[in-house]
Amino acid sequence: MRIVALIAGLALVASVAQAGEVGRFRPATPDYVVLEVPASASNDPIALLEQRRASEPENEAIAAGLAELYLARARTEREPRYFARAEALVRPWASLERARASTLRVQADILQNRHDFASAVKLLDRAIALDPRDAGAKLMRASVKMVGGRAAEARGDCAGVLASGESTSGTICLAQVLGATGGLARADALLKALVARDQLTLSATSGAPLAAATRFAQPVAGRAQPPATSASAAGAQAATPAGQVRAWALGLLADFSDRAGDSRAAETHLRAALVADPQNEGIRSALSDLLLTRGAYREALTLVDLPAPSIGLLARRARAQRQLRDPALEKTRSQIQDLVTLASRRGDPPHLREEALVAFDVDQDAAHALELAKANFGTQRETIDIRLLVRAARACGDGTTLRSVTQWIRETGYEDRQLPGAAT
Amino acid sequence: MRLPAALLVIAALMFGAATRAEAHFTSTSYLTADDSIGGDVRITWDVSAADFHWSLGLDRDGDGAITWEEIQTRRDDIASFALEHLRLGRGGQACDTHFTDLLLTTHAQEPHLSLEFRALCEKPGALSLSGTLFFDTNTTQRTLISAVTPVGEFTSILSPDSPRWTEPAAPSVLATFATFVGQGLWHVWIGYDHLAFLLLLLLPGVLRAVGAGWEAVPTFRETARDLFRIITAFTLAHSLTLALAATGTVSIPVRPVEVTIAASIVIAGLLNLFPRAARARLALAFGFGLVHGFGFANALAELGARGARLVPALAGFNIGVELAQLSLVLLVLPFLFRARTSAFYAWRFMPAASLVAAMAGAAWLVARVNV
Repeated sequence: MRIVALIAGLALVASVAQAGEVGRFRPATPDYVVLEVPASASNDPIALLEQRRASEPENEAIAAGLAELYLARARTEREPRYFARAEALVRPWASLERARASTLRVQADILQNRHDFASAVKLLDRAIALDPRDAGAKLMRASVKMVGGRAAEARGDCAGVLASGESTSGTICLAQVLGATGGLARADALLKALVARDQLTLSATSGAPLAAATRFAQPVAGRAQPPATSASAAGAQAATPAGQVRAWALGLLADFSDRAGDSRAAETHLRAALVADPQNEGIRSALSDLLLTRGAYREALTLVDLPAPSIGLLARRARAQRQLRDPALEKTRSQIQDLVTLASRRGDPPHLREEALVAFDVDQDAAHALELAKANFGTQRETIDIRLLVRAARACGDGTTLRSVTQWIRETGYEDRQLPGAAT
Repeated sequence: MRLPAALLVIAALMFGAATRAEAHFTSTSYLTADDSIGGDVRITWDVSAADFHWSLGLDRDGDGAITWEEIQTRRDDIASFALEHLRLGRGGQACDTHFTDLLLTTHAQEPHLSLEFRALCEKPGALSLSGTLFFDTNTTQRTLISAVTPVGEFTSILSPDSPRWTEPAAPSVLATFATFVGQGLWHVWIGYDHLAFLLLLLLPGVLRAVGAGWEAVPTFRETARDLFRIITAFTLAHSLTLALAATGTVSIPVRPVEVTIAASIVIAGLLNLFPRAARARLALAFGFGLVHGFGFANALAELGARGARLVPALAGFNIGVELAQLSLVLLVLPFLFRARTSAFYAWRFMPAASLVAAMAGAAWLVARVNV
């Protein structure tokens, strides 16, 4: 073991030394652009609250409130540094026995974002015990359980959200549970009705035509939620909270349609969802997956062409490039490798789902993909995770894994026409 | 759709709650310290331009583009901000660190400002480093440390939970020696190629060529003497080249050495088929011993034997190699000595085993040529 550790250490030294030598340079002209950033905005609510916090650094409520604003912005601007800032804000209180519910909720959100679902649920249990009417904590707990494939356990929390008067979120939440526990058709109908109603409500509130993407980027008066302050470097508008909820519902509808075998409808829903929330990487990835499946490689490639791409986006880009015999594939591969290497050097947990996608679709290494997909299935059981595991297990002829997935599908009542043993 | 703010935040994450870390995001800085020559310590700290922007607001005109000019105008702020979060010590005493230059670089496709510092350290000794930029505002910030000191090369990761690195105390000469005795033993025992070559030298060692045939060496004493000569020739040769290569006196690339080692097995195996060739074995042991020594030197270099550790490491490794050889001899000698008088051994077993080893050597040869 020691020799292995030694060799690994030396390889690390070599790679660090190499990374340190990446061309240092002095730009030739003063107007050389080093970095593109969101243009600054005046009256940024985050900036205002930061000022208040600076004058009251011991105030947990202000810190947690500010952290929640940062979390919201992390999602609208594809900038995960906001997560890290939020965590730093609540850090002094997060580990305390008497932490407030809002602090616990912020910390739980950060943990689930880091895929530490078990710890997130523990914090949410505490937050809900402190404030049994905390619909936000319940919604998050439901979400975390559903990601982990324990949809039945999420039902109570969804009902709680609904009972608190949050009819839209509560209904979407329940539809999601229903859709994962044998009631796909009913869930689909429920959600379609909601989206149709919701469309009217939203139009009446904002008075703008639904089709216009920018409509969702306008701050809605009277919201405590901060409006997105800026366009991202990608140039796409950030979504409003209402747009995000709409995208959530539409994305879910797309998932239902796809599992029911109607990929055309799924595509339509995802396109509408992307209009509602252009920065949502989950929607973007799901749409690109559909496009890749039906051979629309060029459009898929355009869709995932964002600055500072994540491994997930790069995996789809590489898959499209491979099909198009695009020589840029090698560059994409090396970008993926850079990110994977960096994550391991930093000691970050691996991106199992994304790395499994890369292994299966890009490297065509089914055995490695299966290993990753199995590990991923331990924490994430959304449609993509289940399908990926089944595809990899089939490619490797791994009957044991296939049987255990089939068993799980039978037990939960999960429906998907693409999967073996699914009761559709 | 009237939802309270907190609920909206959470609702937004529901679809694809698990789509973590949207844009790839590193918040990683790279702190390199070069203390290899002992005098001033040269430090390079590559810090993400975005992270600096977050703390210092580098986009002065707010147009969404941070230019080199905007960086230049804030050069002093950037340098002093970084310097506030950089601590370097040597021999338990803080060093006087000052900023020398600012350049640009890229890590994982992300632009980084590359800051250079020079530290004046009065005392020699173990280096200590702390680079805590953004640790207070960004929990995912990591500083990847890479340090070169007279003792060796080190890497480490600094995080808000462990913001300081100290060069580990160098192991004593005795500890280094003992470790490398173990490494030498281990290297031979897992290095099938050295074992195979040695076995090929040992197999006919209990026989003598008489014309075109074999004859058993009559006494144990004579057998031991014959084997001792062969093993000594091999040992002298590989110790010589191991020392020359490990001290950097001679430098031979890895691949030709590995290929020649594989070839030595093929040749030794085939020669064992011909009693007349037995005379050449001493020269063979010495000649290929030279090459195997270079192979040992490559293994030793991979284990990081350099600087102050070199001499005890070299001595320990060599002794470990000899001990491994000796253990092999002790293991097979009783069997060989007993078997030597049988015709089956001389005409069947020994040639067959040699042929098998030669074929394995041929396979390694092909594999190593095609790497």
